[in-house]
Amino acid sequence: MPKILLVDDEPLIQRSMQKTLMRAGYTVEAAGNCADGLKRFEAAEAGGAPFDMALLDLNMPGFDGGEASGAGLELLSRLIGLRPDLPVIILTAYDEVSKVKDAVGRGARGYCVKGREQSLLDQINAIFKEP
Amino acid sequence: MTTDTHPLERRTRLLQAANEVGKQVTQILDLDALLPKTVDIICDAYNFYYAGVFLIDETGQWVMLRAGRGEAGKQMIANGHKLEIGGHSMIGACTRERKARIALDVGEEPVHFKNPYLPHTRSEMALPLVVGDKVLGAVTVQSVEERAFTDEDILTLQSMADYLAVAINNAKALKQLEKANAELLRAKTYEALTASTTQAIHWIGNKALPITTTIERMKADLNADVINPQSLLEDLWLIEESTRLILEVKENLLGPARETKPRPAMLADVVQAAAFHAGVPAGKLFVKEIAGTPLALADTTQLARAFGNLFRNALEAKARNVTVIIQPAADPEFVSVEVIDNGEGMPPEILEKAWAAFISTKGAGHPGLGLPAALHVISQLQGRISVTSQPGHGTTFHILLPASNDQPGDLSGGAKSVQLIDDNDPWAQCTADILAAAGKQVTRSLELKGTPDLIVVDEALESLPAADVVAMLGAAGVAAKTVVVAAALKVEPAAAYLRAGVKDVALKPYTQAELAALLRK
Repeated sequence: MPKILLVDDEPLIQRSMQKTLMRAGYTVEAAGNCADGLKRFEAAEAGGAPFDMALLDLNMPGFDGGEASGAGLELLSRLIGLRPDLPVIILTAYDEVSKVKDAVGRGARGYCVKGREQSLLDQINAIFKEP
Repeated sequence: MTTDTHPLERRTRLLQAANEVGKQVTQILDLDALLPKTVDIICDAYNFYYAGVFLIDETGQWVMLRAGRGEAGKQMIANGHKLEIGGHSMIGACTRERKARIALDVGEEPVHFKNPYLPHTRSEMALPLVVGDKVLGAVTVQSVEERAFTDEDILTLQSMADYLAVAINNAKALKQLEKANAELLRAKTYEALTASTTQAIHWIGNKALPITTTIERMKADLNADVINPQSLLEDLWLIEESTRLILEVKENLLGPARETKPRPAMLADVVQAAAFHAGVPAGKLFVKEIAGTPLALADTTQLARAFGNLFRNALEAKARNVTVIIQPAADPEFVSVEVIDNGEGMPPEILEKAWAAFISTKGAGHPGLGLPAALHVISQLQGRISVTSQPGHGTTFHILLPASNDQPGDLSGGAKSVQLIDDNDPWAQCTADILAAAGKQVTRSLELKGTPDLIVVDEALESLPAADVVAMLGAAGVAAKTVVVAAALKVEPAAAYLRAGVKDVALKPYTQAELAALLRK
């Protein structure tokens, strides 16, 4: 059963997305900021039960604890630095193509505007079906 | 006076100076520019040691120095130099009495103020600044010589002071008007914001309410002895529909709030892209562009959103078709766009509320944000939009957008052979012609032909999804030579194209400069 790390600072979105993903058959662990997300990822790697995918909010508290625009991209780079083949999808409230280019350039596999959850589930399923 | 010896020459200079003050001061409506200019003209024309302008302060008890000649003037202004009205100074006395005062030998003048910044003053004249029955302040003129002022000087200088008083009065009135206008604007903006925020909160509250009440009902139903799946399904639908409407508000409001990035745009192509994304069926849209119409200056992503809203409205009004006419406007600075539908039209009472947010004729299932969002986008682009409508006959939107020139670009470098994967539309035709004229080898086909240096895919393809084209190009091993272009970009497909290995995703080039940049990608 694929295991997903979900990092989002909005508790209701986090919980709702977690339930949707669990219902779709995934194991989901959630974190509310970049530092916690990285800690969980590293612990899972060290414990021999690594994550198969990460979903990261774009704008959330950064590693210094303050709300940062694009903090999710920094976490993305750190995770890809630890595991270059990790599939990562960025979640955001905005349609900004420049951010998409930045995210894909850093190794993101997908990008999803919140509120279009079906598109997110389609993207996740498609990635796990890839050979 | 040391330099003017000939009386006629002197008189001519004085009259010229008076005229110059009269001419200049009436043109300047900014006190900070007007007053220093006046003291300079007076000193230069008459060769006086010093001149200064005092204006009555808000308390009405003092006159404040507002402009003064040279270093002495600067220092006194910096120190907040002021004199009491009616106090022991010629300016104070002249302001109270509204009469000129002259001291031909300041040593003998009983109300002369000995100013440490102007130690060489021997003669001084104070002239009141009066408009009607209102005194505004006074002008001081000082000379290093005793008995420096003639009767003629007094007459011409008083006439200058009268001009100046009128100009000061005008400048003050303008400032008051500007202040009042700014306050009114602030009040109106606040009022509008409060009204729209209140409407938005009210509307969202109305849509959120069914969610909470339905959830409470579902909780109770789930604890009942008999569960009614039909009722639960209906409840879920209620939640789904309410949520959809709230999210739709977010999509509509967030779009126009984004920063715009205007660039020269081929309107016919933006209209086609908007129709494609709004789901206007092929054969329902007719676009007519008059030859010689300039490009418009617009953020194409935002503009496509605005046109899309007009098209969706037309479809909902059961329009059989929509005609868009693009042509040069009567004002050469603008391009005119008319969006004409033959749908149900709007009655006058609806038409007058067409631009208001959260007002819809299509029932509670519509947030009524399409037209306000379009208005906001067009206004942000420095354009104008208006609407006329006839019930039973249809609606026409009249839009003016700023015109733009093509930006020349050097097409000699970059890719030598280009394949355009596009429907046969005006943009593709125009781009192919420009590239061919620049000596490029151009191919147009929906299938890969040969080994071009660059492949350009139009995202808004009628014939097949752009994602399929990108997949086909990836399979052929040429994704890295491919750029997907669109009049309006969306993030999810953009991420997918980039992940599929395309070289770039970009806004469609509408000028030679943008095309040259695309060739060099």
